[in-house]
Amino acid sequence: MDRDELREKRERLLGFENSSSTSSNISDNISDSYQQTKFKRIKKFLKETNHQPIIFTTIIVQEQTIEYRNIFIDTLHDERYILKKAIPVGIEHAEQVYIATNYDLGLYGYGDTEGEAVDDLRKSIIECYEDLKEEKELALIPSKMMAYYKEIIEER
Amino acid sequence: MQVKKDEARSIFRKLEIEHREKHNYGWLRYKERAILPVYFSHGKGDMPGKVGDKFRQSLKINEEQFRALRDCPLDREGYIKILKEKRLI
Repeated sequence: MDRDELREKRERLLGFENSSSTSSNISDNISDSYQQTKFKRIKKFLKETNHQPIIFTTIIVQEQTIEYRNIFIDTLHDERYILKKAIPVGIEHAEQVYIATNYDLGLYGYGDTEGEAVDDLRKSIIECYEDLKEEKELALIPSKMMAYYKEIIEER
Repeated sequence: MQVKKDEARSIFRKLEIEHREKHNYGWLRYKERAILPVYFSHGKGDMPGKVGDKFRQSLKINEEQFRALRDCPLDREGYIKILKEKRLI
């Protein structure tokens, strides 16, 4: 059995008949019933194809998900600055990396843990603010950033 | 989109992005004005997939344009033209 035949068989057995499906819409469309029968199908497939492990690896990659949630931070952990209000931070976790993003400023940070990612973002927020304060004339994006900074940051 | 640290460094050089030691961000400047903050990997090795995407997004370009930037056909002049078309400059 060559690779194409194996791929075709895998897709038929696992319910991925539509070969034009992308990994993201396959993940989106995974139903509860699919979840329940997933391992039975994989088991059956591995039995029929003499347990070829390379196919199983592919399946895991296709089902990789990205965790996403929102939190608020109310401090920058820097004695020079106070946050006047809590700011939203989106936390993404994928491929063993956490990314913390503030979409209002368009800044992000990352790390091995959620805490590291948020601290990295805090550092980015402070650095950009200090850089912008030194600018004499602001272009479009920096001026929008500065307007937002004025809403959220107060210096001690 | 995985971005190697050397690739990010080379993009910074090509676009003449000002980056201070130990800072997370560098600034793209045009006619002496700061235009865009661009994230730089800070000693944690290559940027993994999703972080690479964020790096690209901070440059305000799509994947095709990013590939052109990384693989050399797109230079600073071409990149500035893209930003002008987007009315970011």
